[in-house]
Amino acid sequence: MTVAEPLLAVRGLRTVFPTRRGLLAACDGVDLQLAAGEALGVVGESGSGKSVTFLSVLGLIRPPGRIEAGEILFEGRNLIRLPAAARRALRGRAMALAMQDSLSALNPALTIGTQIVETILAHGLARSRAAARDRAVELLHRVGIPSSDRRLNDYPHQFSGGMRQRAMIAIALAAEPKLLVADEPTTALDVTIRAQVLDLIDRLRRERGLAVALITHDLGVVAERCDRVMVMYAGQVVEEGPTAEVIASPRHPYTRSLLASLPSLEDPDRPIDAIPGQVPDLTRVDAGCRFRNRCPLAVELCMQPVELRALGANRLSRCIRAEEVA
Amino acid sequence: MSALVEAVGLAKSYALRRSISQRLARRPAPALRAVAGVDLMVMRGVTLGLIGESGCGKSTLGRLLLRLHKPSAGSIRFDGIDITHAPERALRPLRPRMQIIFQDPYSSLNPRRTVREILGLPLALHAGLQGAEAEARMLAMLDRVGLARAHLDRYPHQFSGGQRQRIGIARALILRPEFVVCDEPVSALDVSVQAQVLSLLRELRAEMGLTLLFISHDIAVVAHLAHRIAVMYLGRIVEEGPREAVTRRPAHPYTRALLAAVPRLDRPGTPAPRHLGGELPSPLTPPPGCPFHPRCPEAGPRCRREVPALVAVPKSDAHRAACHLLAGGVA
Ligand SMILES: Nc1ncnc2c1ncn2[C@@H]1O[C@H](COP(=O)(O)OP(=O)(O)OP(=O)(O)O)[C@@H](O)[C@H]1O
Ligand SMILES: Nc1ncnc2c1ncn2[C@@H]1O[C@H](COP(=O)(O)OP(=O)(O)OP(=O)(O)O)[C@@H](O)[C@H]1O
Ligand code: SF4
Ligand code: SF4
Ligand SMILES: [Mg+2]
Ligand SMILES: [Mg+2]
Repeated sequence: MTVAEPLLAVRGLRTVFPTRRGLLAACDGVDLQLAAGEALGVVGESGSGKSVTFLSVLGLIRPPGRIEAGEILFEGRNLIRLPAAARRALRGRAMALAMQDSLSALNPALTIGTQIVETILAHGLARSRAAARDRAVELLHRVGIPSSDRRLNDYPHQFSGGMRQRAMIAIALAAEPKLLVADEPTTALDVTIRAQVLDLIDRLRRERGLAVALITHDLGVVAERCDRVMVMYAGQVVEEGPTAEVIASPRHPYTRSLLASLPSLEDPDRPIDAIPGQVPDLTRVDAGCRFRNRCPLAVELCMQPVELRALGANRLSRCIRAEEVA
Repeated sequence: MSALVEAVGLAKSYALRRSISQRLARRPAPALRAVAGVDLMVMRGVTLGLIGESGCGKSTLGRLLLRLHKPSAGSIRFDGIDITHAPERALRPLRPRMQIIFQDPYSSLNPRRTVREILGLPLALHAGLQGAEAEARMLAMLDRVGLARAHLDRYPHQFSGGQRQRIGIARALILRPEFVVCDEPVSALDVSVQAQVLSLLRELRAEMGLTLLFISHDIAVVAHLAHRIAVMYLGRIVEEGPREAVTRRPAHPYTRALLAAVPRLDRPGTPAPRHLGGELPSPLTPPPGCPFHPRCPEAGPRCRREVPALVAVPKSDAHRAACHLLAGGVA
């Protein structure tokens, strides 16, 4: 593997769910790359396919949902082709998921310590229970939980929201993964506690080269924490590029509308513009641009298939009028 | 300008159940002080934003002001009328004048009632309106919040989150109230839908001359809507003042920490400033002295003993904060 080769490369990913209304492609032709030590922000409104994309990468799509097309290359190996056992081993160890709702992700009947110890033992990362316990203490300490040796015996409900989030990240990191998918890990948290959790993820990225996919509704979080951002809409990537550039000069009308809909603390009286209309029904989409019913720049040509195309060295946009977006 | 809502020394404690050991030791039930002595005025026509971390007592304070809870201490006046201990019978004529919009558009609407029933109930109960007259009012209100006649006979689950929040707003405003507590009305919504609901609230506020208490943990959202901002910490107001003063010249160390922790769009890539450490202490065992002292970077010995009073911030108009450091004091 060369240095330039990404840790994760996804190409043409299409994941579908059979529903009563027909087949629903929750992500449809998604391409993405993520290098070690990199943080990729993933934004887009509810239902745009952010979670499904990364659950597909992690192998967590449950039947009848299935990956219908595409490849998922992790360290150069296509996960979709790998035998199931090898795939499971790789996914268990090298990739981890930290989710939004930490209380439901933790088992309420087991102490925090037991849950971390079990994870460590399950991945064969410690020889004995005692060694696993020592490691659990260290992990909790590292995620900033004070007197971690005592707190190990606490049940999830005895932790505050912020501590539960951090405990969950400790569990996710127990196997020393190379990729952390953080799916809205902090939305339920207060700003000050949330900043602490994000600081922790940042530190692991810098110090251990952890690759991070940060899925969130909060563009501010992405602006501060991720060098690159990927914007999803109705199951597709519509824009991608360096976060600072995308925010300063979006190249897709959806990204621009999203930015215009956010109130700003610096300029609180700036009018905010809602995006008119609704996201299309994913069981009823055609080949044309999926944003066209809400797009101020839409023209007849937008009914044709629109590809994600490069604009300069590191920007991508799925819009035929990308150059005109200002 | 006159005060529409005024609270003095307002407090609310919840009695918790005793644990077995407490019962055996015959100790009294522990009390959780959710609101711990709040002095606050909401002037007519003004939107007061209320921010603070989860569990600091924002919702409890909002409900106290509407007398949906009974206070444990202090007093509440609505339009000059003392409602602190008013029985439900005495509150009834005031109810149409004070309303609430809830955070969760999913659980705050009865799933077995149609929109017609949801909106018709307050009209029948408080305005004595029924039949065609009531329907006309409902249709006018629905139209105003961007819903149509066709929506009248649908159930909540047949609407999107944003539409449900519009129903919640219509329900709160159909009696043409003067004071509305908005308890995180957009927190559960997508940003683009959030923008629609915020714009709607702004318009309706102007049209109906509403006085609002707008609760949110999103400071940018609060700043967009509020004229004044109050910051709460562990059941107390630690700072209150004009929006500009509080967001640009915060006087309390907690407000400064809160503002520093807000992720900003306009400074991408800049390393985040040093964040506040520590956890929000439990309201069951509040720290002595200044409630913020265990986390305050500027705390001194005095902060561990004395509770700072909410006092005028020097050289800042109509701006109060509770910190020993104000006016060159020592911590
Ligand atoms: N198990 C499933 N069965 C059927 N449809 C599903 C399933 N999981 C997801 N979907 C659909 O796939 C689409 C994408 O969902 P996904 O959870 O990826 O969205 P998201 O971008 O993560 O949204 P959010 O921001 O709300 O988390 C949605 O339309 C959703 O309803
Ligand atoms: N009915 C109740 N019984 C006991 N404790 C309660 C009750 N309602 C609220 N509390 C406690 O009172 C404190 C204040 O709660 P409140 O809901 O007012 O906070 P909040 O600031 O609105 O929080 P959030 O931002 O999470 O909505 C919390 O510690 C909460 O656990
Ligand atoms: S392709 Fe057309 S409809 Fe789609 S975003 Fe671009 S201009 Fe708008
Ligand atoms: S009184 Fe002391 S502890 Fe409290 S905010 Fe001021 S300096 Fe900090
Ligand atoms: Mg999701
Ligand atoms: Mg609340």
